[in-house]
Amino acid sequence: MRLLSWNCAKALHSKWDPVIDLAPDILVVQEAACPAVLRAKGVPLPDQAQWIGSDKHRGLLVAAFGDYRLRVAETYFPGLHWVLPLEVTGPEAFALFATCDTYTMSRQGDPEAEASDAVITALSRYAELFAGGNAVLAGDLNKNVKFDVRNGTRTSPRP
Amino acid sequence: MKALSGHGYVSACHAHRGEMHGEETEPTHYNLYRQHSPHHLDYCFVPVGWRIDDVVVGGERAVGLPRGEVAQ
Repeated sequence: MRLLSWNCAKALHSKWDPVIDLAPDILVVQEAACPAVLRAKGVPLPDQAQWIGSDKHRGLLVAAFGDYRLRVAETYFPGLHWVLPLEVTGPEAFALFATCDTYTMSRQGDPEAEASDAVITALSRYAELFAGGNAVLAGDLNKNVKFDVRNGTRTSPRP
Repeated sequence: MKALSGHGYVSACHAHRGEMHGEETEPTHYNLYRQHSPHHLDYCFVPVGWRIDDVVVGGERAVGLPRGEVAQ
C-alpha cells in the first residue's frame, strides 16, 4: 500500500499529473479544493474521495484508488475539522486519520479542540480507533520538535 | 510526537531512516517558499510493528513543481 500526503497550496488542479505519476493507493492532500471545484477544473478525481473544510478552495482531501474504499468513521466529530477519521478497506484495511493542523480549529466544536492541538485532541477523542493498533495518521502537522526546543510551547515556524 | 509514540505509533520516515525528530535530513516544506528555510512538518505515523518498505520525500522532484512545495 502506497500512501502519499502533500500540502498542495491550493493548486491541486495544476499538480494532479505529477501526483498521479507517483501512483498512490491513498492520497491525502492538504489545502485542496473540494471535489466539485476540482472536477470543474478537469481533475479526474476517483469516486472514492472525501473532503472536509469550510472554504471550498482550501480543505482536506482524501482519495483512494484501485480496490481501496473510504468511509468516514461513525465516530467522526465535525468540530475537530482538521482531523478526518476514515475507515479504509481493500487490500489493506486500517483506520486513517488525515490531518492538516493549521490552527484553524472550530470555534463551535469541542472545547478541548481549542485548548490543545488537533492531533492531541484526536488521540483522546478517537482513542478507540488508535487503540486498535491498526491506524495511520498522515498529513501536514505543521510541527517539529525543534520548535519545541527553541521556543518552549511554540511548535510552528510561523510567527 | 511523544503522544503518538505513547500510543504505539512511529513516524514512518523517521523509523525507516533511523533519524531523530528534529534532526531530519530532508525537509518537507520551505517556509514561505524560501529555499533557505527548510522544515520537516509533514508526517505519516504508523503502528510500530508495521513493515515500512520505503519512504520518499518529494525532494527535487517536488521542488520543481509550482512555487517549490515539497511532498512527502
